[in-house]
Amino acid sequence: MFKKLSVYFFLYILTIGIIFSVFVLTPNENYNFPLMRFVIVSFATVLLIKYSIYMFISPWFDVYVAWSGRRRRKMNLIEDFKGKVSVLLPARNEELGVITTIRGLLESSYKNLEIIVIDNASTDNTYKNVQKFIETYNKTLKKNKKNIEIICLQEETPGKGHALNKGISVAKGEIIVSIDADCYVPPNTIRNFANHFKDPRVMAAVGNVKIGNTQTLIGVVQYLEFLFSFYFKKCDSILGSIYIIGGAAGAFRREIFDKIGGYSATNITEDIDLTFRIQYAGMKIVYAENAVVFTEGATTINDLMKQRLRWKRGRLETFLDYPQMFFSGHQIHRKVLSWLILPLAIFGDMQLFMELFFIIFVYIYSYLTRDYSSFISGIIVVTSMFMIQILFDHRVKKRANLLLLAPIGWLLFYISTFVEFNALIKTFWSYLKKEKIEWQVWKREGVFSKEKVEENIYFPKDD
Amino acid sequence: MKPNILKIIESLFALIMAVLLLTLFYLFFYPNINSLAYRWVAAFLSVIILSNLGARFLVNYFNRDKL
Repeated sequence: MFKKLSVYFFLYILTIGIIFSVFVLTPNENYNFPLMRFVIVSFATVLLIKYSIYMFISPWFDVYVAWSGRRRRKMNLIEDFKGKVSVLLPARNEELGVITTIRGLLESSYKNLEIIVIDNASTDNTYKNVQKFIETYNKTLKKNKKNIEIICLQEETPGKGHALNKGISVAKGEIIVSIDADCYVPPNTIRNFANHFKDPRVMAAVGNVKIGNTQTLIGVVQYLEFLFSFYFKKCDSILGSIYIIGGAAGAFRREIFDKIGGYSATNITEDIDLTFRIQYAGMKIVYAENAVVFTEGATTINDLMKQRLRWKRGRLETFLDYPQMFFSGHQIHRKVLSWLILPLAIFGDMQLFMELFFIIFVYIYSYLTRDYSSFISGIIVVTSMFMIQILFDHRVKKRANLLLLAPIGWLLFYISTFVEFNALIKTFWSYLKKEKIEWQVWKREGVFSKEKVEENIYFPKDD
Repeated sequence: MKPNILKIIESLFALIMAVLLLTLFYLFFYPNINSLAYRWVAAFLSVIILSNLGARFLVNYFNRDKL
């Protein structure tokens, strides 16, 4: 705690120091660098346009949800989805977290449920622990839980895709929910997921993933990153352009696996690959904001880099596998996704090549030309975006704590930029060398509890 | 931190946001601002703050029977 506060204090001093120095340390001569100015203006303009679109549209997702909720209440269509739901928990060396995840699911308010744990070539006691838990559960608890069935399978071939496909082959549910085995699932999550499938057009839904372990600085950085990216998912959902259903929380109508096949066994980000195929087939994906799942983020910077390397490499491979999704004229493909969101994603990666140096570049420009507007504007934009998201997010409980981080948000994101930059460089390097990326296995700490995570998030009573 | 202190910090930030919005409007319409960056930022922030405020108002309106 003291270490984290010291870092925050240091970042505050750095922010104030940098802004102060821009105003105080003026150079001897007044230079003019039109090329530097051009680079900054073009770079910043694209960024502003991108964030304007996302931040303007995202809040209207909540309006749509509130409006449709009111319409359903008026028409008395408030009955829950009734079909069977199969929850798949692929687990590789998850002896610490998997039982917490199962316990969370057993507390679920949705009872027409089966839980399928797929042990994927674990070298620890995952399988043994789950089997032991199932035995005890079958003897004592099953009757109280309205006969929620728990099955544990073993998949010897390493790879999450293999594990999930095995789970799908035995699943009896009409909705398949995939959740990581290191997650905590609040009681209403499965019900909220299932209710999105009352609309027959909805084929898949992506859950609202939150980082559960915020004790370390890396945890806080990931928490803020997830807060931003899932805020932007609202915009993607409105535009019908969700192209990533993360493995931590995703729900699918069973028939899509019959139509487009199961998870890829070769792509290291089988979740992105599957989402791309769903979009390619022109099926509807929505964002289930009320289906909250807490996951355990990486606890060290090295683990975070490994995770981001896998994400970036997987995304690159998926983009290269489906070039026809870019600037597609096909009528079943969402034009916004094909002509705007995917090119922006590519631009985002290109921008990442420069972003690490961009802030230093802008600072030097400001210092040399005495034109501080771009530098100060950048800090104002990031700080304000931070504040807006925190103030308007109805789920954030401890707003003040997060708001205190807003002025140093641009520096916190600099840590994540460094990690992403590192991952990007390694991605291209490993791709060129044709190196295989393994599913990262980091040391689990099982660091969060139900009470700890729920004290940060607001769950409305009828949520 | 005590809850009332947290509330004060929260309100303070909301106040900063309101002042920021007014300043942005001022910056945006002030004729003698010659910095392109400030104009862009003013426009960007005004639009997204108004969008968020409008959306929040409508969410509360549609949820009025639940409140």
